[in-house]
Amino acid sequence: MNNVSTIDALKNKGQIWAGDDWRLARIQSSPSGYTDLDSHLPGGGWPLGAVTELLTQYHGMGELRLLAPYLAKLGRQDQRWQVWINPPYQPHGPGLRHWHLNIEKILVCKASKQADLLWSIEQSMVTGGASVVLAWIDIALDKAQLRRMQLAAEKNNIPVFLLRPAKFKNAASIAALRLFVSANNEQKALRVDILKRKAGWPLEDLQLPVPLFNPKGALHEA
Amino acid sequence: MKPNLWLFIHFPKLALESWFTQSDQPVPQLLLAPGTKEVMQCNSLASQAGVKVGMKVSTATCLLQQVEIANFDPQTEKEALERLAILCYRFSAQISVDESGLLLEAGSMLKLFRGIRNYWHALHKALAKSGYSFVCSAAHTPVAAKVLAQNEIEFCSRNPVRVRDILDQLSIFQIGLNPKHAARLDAMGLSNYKLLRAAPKKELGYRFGRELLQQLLDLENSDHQGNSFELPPRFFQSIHLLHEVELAQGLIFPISRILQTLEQYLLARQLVSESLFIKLEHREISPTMLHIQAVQGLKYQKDWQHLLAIRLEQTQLPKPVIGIRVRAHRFSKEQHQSGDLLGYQFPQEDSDRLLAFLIARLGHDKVKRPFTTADPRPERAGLLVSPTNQEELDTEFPNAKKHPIFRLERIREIQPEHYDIKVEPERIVSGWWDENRIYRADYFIAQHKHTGQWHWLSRNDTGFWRLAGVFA
Repeated sequence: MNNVSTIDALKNKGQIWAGDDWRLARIQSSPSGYTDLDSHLPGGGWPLGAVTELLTQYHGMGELRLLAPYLAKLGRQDQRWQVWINPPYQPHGPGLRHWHLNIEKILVCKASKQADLLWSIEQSMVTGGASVVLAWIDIALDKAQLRRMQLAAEKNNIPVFLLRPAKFKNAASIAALRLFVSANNEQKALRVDILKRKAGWPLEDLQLPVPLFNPKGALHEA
Repeated sequence: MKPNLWLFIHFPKLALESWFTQSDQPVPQLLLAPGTKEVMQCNSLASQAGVKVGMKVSTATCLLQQVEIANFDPQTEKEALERLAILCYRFSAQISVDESGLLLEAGSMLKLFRGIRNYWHALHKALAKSGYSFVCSAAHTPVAAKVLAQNEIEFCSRNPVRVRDILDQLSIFQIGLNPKHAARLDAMGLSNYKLLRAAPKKELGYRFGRELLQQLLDLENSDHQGNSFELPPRFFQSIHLLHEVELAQGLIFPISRILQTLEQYLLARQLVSESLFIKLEHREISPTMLHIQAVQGLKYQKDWQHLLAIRLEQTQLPKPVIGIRVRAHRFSKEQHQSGDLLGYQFPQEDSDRLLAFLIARLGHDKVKRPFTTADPRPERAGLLVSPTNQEELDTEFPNAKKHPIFRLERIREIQPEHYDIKVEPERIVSGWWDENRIYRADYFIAQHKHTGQWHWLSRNDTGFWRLAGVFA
């Protein structure tokens, strides 16, 4: 009896993971808008209150299109800022609107120093003024910095997406979800490798239909 | 009609206290009368050591081991008095600024404060916060209140008989008469107010003229108020620093004194301010300008102070600061934010605070939001603009297009053979109205053969291929 309760205690602390079916794992999440992807994500969507890493070989492999339906829905429901920090190129209003993103709620920040970058991410969460944070980080982050970010995300229940180069693919990370996004030669598909997910094994070569343009069409298409 | 009540606040060490800012280690301080080398005001530490007002500065320095000395500056005193007037604006709508004191019409305010006791208490509490020493007196005429306060008699009554009883005890030199007149009256044996009051008015008029009679009349009967103070339409305050400040963080304390006045000013006008311009003056080189932006408008000192701290943390001073000027900018009516149903969360307020924080830390030009216009040219259709510039944001045109999420700020030349062009081009022709040459370019959607990225390529009449955007 005693042994069982010890294991239960460890399980509750999240220090051991029992091989239950990961689909049953209770993780707070929000649908990504791509059903094929959701069916492989614990909780059935992007984890809320957690750090998600999206790794790519080059900028702009389709990682934003992967996030766009979720950001669009969030922009309709939540009036707080969607903070974009250090995007590699200039976010283009007409293209964002095409994906139904609420551009009135997007804040594009440039933080040249690492301290400013981390500070901005943290403040976005702790002030309660942001609904989501997207940050492009090309530099290595140490464990303490990532841990701090994860704790702030958890405490304030805000999803954080880190868009990072593929060279960090094998670096240790405390992110709740890590995806590697690469191109498929077909125009309408992306290849996604799940490098890490909670309560589940990694998964390779997931082909997702992620088109170049919003299949729902734009509301005010010119 | 109820009898009037006038309140006079006398600041006995105003010039001294406005010149020297409070420091952690108290040091004897002397303020010298201009041109005379005589002590005009001194703080309590100096008087404990034996320094007296009117003493020669050389004698005073012999008594003190350590001392700070400054010359009287009428401008500093005047500015300090105006700051105090703003502070008192909550206690009376009719304020006049007198030499080294403020006169408040208090009679009409008693109803609001529910009685003189509450009024007196609230005023004392507010003044104590200002850091200046003061004496308050109230009487049924402005002049009587002033005479009492300047003699440092804390007294409050609107009853003319009780006021007269106090005045009767004052010597002839204490009731604010022309010193020459006072000396002559004293020589005549009229050494205090009681005796003067009993003297026949006609005789006094004959010997001393109308001026004296008018003064005596004002003391007990007149309601005449001096120049009345009005809240300035703009908020502008400056302070000079006694010690040069080398580190930006060291500026928080002196500036927060101004922010305290700003809070009172905004409360009095029922306004909020959207930004502060702070000018830090240095020796020789041009001043450093700081712009502190609050998004929906702030008024409280603590909110401004928080933004200021973030901003100063990022500021490198090129040279020590010797003076500070603060100007508040863009006032607006206070808006009440609505919270959620339970009133626990204020999402709009939180968002505004985050934006203000980011601007304070990263700088104005580093925090932007995407914006769309009706222009067909991609580089003008999608822009990044300041999220605080409301006029600009009002002209937004909901221009959605099958264009990429990212655009290159600087178009880069590329080799077309690296790409597989998948979709027929979109031709954009425009701009005949505001440029000499017509804007004409074909936009292609193409996949990079090597990396697999989807790019937006443009080709204009010159025939060069350029990378215009990325379908991220």
